[in-house]
Amino acid sequence: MSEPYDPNKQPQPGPPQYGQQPQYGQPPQYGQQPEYGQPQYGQPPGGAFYPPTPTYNYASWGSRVGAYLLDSWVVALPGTALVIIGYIMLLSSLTTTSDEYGYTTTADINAGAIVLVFVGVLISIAINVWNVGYRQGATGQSLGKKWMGISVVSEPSGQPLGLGMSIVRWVLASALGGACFLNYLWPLWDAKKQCWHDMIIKSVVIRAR
Amino acid sequence: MRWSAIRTPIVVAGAGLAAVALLHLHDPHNTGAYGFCPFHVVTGLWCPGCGGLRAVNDLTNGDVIGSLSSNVFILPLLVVLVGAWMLWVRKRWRGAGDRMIVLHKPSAVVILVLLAVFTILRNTPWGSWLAPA
Repeated sequence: MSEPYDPNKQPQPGPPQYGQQPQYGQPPQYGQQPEYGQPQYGQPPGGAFYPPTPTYNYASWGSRVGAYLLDSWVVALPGTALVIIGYIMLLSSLTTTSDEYGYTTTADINAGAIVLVFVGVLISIAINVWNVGYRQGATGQSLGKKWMGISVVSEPSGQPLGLGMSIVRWVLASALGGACFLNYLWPLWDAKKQCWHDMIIKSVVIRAR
Repeated sequence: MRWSAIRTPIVVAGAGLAAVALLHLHDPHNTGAYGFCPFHVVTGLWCPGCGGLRAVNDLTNGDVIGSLSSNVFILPLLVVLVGAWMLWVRKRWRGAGDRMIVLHKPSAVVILVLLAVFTILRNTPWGSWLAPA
């Protein structure tokens, strides 16, 4: 058993049917069609003619924080560990000398440590592109989210976001969260428990079971 | 038992009052008393929350004008929080309601636009009266 996590795998994970011309006089219905017999998350069985926006069981703020910590400190550990080790080597390799006049000079940058930090950052990015971009884009779950039992889906369709949008979501989350911590607290009082990056790309985080 | 329904509100109120007491005793007007705003450190600009702790401290000393000139949003925010807390207790006492505050899309958009405008204004010469004083 290699990957038992994905009973819903389908060949076309991205948001379906962009670029298809809607017929004149009909409202476009991106992603609203009940697709390929796949169950919509949280939708009551025996669907209506026009399934309204599916009702979701939103994931708690705590479970999302847990998944975030697991993704950044467990899954990405091979990268972050190298970065931390590199920093420590860098700091301890700096030798500060004082001459007899009291002037201090700091010298001897450890080139190996800089390479270590650089490689560590590259490995972290690669792990995140796989874990948060590819894996979460295809299945709705990064490893951290899988362990916490939660999932990211597109709000209108209930489907996973796909690689591209998942990476956009990750970059947006880092940028908005870095600019203002309120972004990460917003699910506490938001009706749909969305962060700002969720509102922008219309994603929701839901309980997976 | 109904008391168990309002246990969470009581814990939340306790945490809030403890925070206010800490801000009264450990004065945030002393630079770096609670660390530094990372946004201000990196950009040199005022974020919408800058001056917030000082504004709470001013209120605990009865200085309303000082509070408004530190961060004009803190006094209305605290009034709203106290009101929302009382409504929350009433709802939970009657056996309904989950979260203290639930913001739907329209109110969220209004608040975010207000915060964005406030952030821009307090960093310009015309809005210098909105910058922390």
